[in-house]
Amino acid sequence: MLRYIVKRLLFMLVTLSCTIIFVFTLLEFTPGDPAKIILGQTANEEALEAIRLQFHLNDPYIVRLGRYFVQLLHGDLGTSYITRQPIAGAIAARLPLTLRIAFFGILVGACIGILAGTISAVKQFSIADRVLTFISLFGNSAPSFWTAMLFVLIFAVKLQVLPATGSYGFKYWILPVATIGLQCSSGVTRMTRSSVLEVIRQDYIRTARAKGQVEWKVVISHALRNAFIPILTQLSGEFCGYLGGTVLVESVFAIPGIGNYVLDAVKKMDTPVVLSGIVIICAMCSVIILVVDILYSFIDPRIKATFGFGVKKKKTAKAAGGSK
Amino acid sequence: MAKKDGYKKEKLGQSQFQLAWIRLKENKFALVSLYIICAIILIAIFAPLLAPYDYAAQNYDEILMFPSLKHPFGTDQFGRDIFSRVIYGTRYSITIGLCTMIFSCILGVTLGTIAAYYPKLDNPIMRFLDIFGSIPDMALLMCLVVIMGSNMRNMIIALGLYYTPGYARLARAKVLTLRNEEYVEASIALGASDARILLTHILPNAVAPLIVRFTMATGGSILEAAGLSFIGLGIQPPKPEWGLMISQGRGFLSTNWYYPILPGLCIVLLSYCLNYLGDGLRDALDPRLN
Repeated sequence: MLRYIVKRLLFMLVTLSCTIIFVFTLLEFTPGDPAKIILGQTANEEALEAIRLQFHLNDPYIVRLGRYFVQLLHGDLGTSYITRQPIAGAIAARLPLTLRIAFFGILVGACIGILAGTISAVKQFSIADRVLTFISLFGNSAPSFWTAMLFVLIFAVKLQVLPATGSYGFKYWILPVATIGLQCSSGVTRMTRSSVLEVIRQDYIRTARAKGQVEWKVVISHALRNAFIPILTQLSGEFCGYLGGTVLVESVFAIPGIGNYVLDAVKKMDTPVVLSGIVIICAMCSVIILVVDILYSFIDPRIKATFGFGVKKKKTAKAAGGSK
Repeated sequence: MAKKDGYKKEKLGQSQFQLAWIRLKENKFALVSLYIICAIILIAIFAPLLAPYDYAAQNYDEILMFPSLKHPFGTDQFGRDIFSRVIYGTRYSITIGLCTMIFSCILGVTLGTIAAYYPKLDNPIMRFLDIFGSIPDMALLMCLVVIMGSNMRNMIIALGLYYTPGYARLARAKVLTLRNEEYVEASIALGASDARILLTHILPNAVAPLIVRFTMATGGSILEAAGLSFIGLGIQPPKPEWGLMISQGRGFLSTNWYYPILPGLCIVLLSYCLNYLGDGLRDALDPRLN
């Protein structure tokens, strides 16, 4: 097990480094002179040159890329062009807000989605199935910012039971979490439905029923468990998407999360903030994917077997060679 | 039930696509979705004829009017007719959705096919696309907007690039299974060129999942485009794009709820139809799935 985790961790680090290099290279093509973005268009040449020296803008691409990696290893995410503040502190203050909303949204979405998807798969072509499919397709087609505004209109403007904007406590999280939960649940419902439908025709389900197993146990421990891998993939994908994608929800509810932070930077051409923001989002994603990969092997032991195969074979070969 | 009736009408000598069309016609809701999408495309083409007012005409005598017979969707803070703006807005959503998909489909299918057919190029292409695809959607789109600036052409390119890895993976998986088929081996034995095998033997057989993905991802890209416009990185004012209209109507949510909500309803309608049609097409093109 440990070997598997270490292997996945190394793989994750390689992918993440490639992603960082890729994003760094992309942002190299940002038009405009960074020094002028920092000081404004009217700054004189001497001041511009001083700023270029301060931010190491004159160094070649490779040197700056290397320096960025060294900085990252020291936990330094660089300095913002606009505020001249270290980015790490700003992100540390904003990341929990985004993570909280995304996490609870996904949790709500997973609970609703798995329940609804299982119901509609077990009762395929029933009225419940049709209604649930309709609702989930609706959730899939409605833009999150529009759903968010609909919630604000109903709960904050008309009923006046929940606050519309800000982030000061539990009450303020309900609407954003509900928005993400609704959208997430629709995808999970569809995935659960198709995945359970695929499993429920397998022979072992028929065997379980033939043995006289109670129907709800057949569904939960035989069908759902075997259908869970694609659902988990869907959930991890949604979580990753929401780390950056909450920007839409954040901007409706005026939540100072990481999405809004990067968005502001994009509008002001504050490249270091964009770079570090995206790197942090990608890093979070890699961690989520890693955790999910490890969860896979708990749900389905066959996966661990296939992944560890190459390593194990080599090891046994070596051991065999050593014993000779 | 409906499915079985569909099979009865199938006759010998009909092509795969005729059969799929017969099966699709059995699915009434999918057919209605198809009609609605066609209607929206027609609205987009004939927008100047259909819109009762000029989308940019400001009328300060009638600002923020509630929906009425004269202005079915009401008016905005400049007295512009929201109904006309919504009609013109179809042009942006349809153009962005279709262009994005055509762009990413061509690029993705080309890359995926090359990766699958030439094993030497498989790893470099797919690993690069994996990295590209590992960046979450909004993060990648924001990054691309920084580099290219925000206007319609750049938004189409950015969205197209974002959807490319998905097509490439789909095409690659399909081509990998198809290239071992006997008819491909037969044409290799007959001395057909790579291009001929790919274009006339492999791609036509791989087209079904691509069509489904095309339909569904068009809905997705319309949502993403509206999202980008909503946060100010897509279409810029005063153009009548739906996401942008929602964004501009935000401040009026408590007083004039129809202003941001109605354009959003149009996005939902279009995207819902595309998704439903995609579902219907998948069932029709691949009967094994049911």
